[in-house]
Amino acid sequence: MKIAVMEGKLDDVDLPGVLQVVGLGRQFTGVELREKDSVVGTIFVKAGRIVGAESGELRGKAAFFDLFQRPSTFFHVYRSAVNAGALDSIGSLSSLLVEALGRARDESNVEVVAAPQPELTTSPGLAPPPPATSGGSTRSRAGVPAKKAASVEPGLVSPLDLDTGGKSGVVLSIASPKGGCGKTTVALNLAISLARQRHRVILVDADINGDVLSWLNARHKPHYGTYDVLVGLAEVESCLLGTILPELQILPALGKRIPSASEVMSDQSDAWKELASKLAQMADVVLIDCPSGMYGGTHQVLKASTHVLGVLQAEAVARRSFDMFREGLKALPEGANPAVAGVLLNMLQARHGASLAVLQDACASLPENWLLETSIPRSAAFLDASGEGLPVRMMDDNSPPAVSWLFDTLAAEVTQRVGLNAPSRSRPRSLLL
Amino acid sequence: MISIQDKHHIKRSWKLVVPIAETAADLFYRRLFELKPEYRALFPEDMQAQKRKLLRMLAFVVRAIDFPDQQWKQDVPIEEDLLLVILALGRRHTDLYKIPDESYVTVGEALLWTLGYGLGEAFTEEVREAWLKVYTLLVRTMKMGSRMVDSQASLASAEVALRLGHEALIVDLAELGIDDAKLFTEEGL
Repeated sequence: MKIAVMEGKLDDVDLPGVLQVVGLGRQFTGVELREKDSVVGTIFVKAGRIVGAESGELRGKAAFFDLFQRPSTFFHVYRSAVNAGALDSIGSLSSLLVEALGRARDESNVEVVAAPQPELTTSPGLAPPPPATSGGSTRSRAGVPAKKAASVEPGLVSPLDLDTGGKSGVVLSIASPKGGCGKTTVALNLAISLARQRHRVILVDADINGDVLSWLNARHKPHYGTYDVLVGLAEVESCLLGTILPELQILPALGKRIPSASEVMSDQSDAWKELASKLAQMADVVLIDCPSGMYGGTHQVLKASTHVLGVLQAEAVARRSFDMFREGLKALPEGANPAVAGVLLNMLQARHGASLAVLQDACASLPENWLLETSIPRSAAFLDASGEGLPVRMMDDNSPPAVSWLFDTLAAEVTQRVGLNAPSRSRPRSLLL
Repeated sequence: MISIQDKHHIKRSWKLVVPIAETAADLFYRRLFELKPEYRALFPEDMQAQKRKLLRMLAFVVRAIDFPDQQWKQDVPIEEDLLLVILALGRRHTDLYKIPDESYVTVGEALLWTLGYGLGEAFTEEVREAWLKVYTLLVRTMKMGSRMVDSQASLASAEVALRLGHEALIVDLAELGIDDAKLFTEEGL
């Protein structure tokens, strides 16, 4: 039985606006679009997910996007009882809305006007009303005003701006030709320092071993992971793990399911591109902890990255192996090469000649500007921290291990190199009064 | 839509509000009446019950927007469904309480001011943005709820309410499964 919830004209509230409101609900809800007396199509929503769509002969995602193109004047929202167990999500409402609005914007030949003034301000008193749109209705498709495809409704937050802040983030992969160089340690601790510097960070574990969560002693926690997203078994939003740092989320490699060998070996380059692109809209920095080696899975991840950070372990074998870092980058197809954000010397032992020799050699032989100013020493603090299942910075809030501060320095250096906004330099002041 | 980060900010900041909830409610209404003194007449003289309603509604919103993702298939009672509750709240504001549409801006400003004052440094730009997003989406929903009455679209009509008085609306809400008594329970806090 259908129970009417609300209805209205798409001139008053456009389709993205209606869907955002309906997305607040937990019931199975149909959003019927109507033109005169006929039903143009229906979008089915449950708990912030699109669970179906019908438009003429079309079904599913195709129908969803089609309904943004079809002229319709009225919406009618109803709820009904269904067997929820049989429902399948075809995508989260937010991501499908972003995609639909992106398509609408791409197809619109008119200039996108600046977002109208918001209704709310922090200043006391009433905010001025939104400016009137000139020329009356510019509606061309199901409630998506052609001139405002990027700004849905005056005063309300556009879905396009919800997660992105209007820009895409940096996708920074952390890679090394040799295993055991400390990529995961660097990725995890760098992610924490970036988040503490107020950048929104998503740390992605691309290594099938899933050792980001091994570090945190939390392998049991996730239900789904990166490899479920890559093969379409899960939505990325449902896989992200929150942390006590509001700016940091983690996408673990694995959930409860262990992928088959053939799945891991298959080429998932396109899925990686899609995933990286989506995450980049949700964060300032997407940090990807790559598997060891520069080919195979790493090769696929690098094709989806904007930047790469090489990790060079300060010992002879790793140095000899590191030439493959450059070779691996050369092997990427033209146009798919990430910019080298730098090479980090890791596990440096300043009292050992062999370790220092790697530093000297790296200074002399790596391309100019590759070697970062910051290097990370070998430290027992990492052993202690991994034993506790904690990043080093969180071992002791009052007195964190000294090495943890180096990740703050590293974060500052990396953000500068990848062009992330950092606090502007303050005016130098004399120390003495 | 409200992002995962927004939900995180809302939840964390609300936890900080709970211990000072009564003070926050005092501050909110004080600020509201500073901004629009004429709104004082819309409320009863004794504001205690009103303040409790405000806090319970906010607690309900915080709880409702942050359900575990893996529970998306689970049905919830309609009195715990954020969409239906907020639509009904919008109708009540228009029909029962005669609250003008333009008041949403002032109420939003008073809410953000209160959160800023109460949370201090914890009211970061991200936290403010998260509350602003949630509030604007709720306002849009309430306005759609109030338009349902105007257009006699689906639930009870304004005519019935005017003819039979406010009781009719309460009955309509009950028929919809939205019951003030259930909505404003102590669970909210």
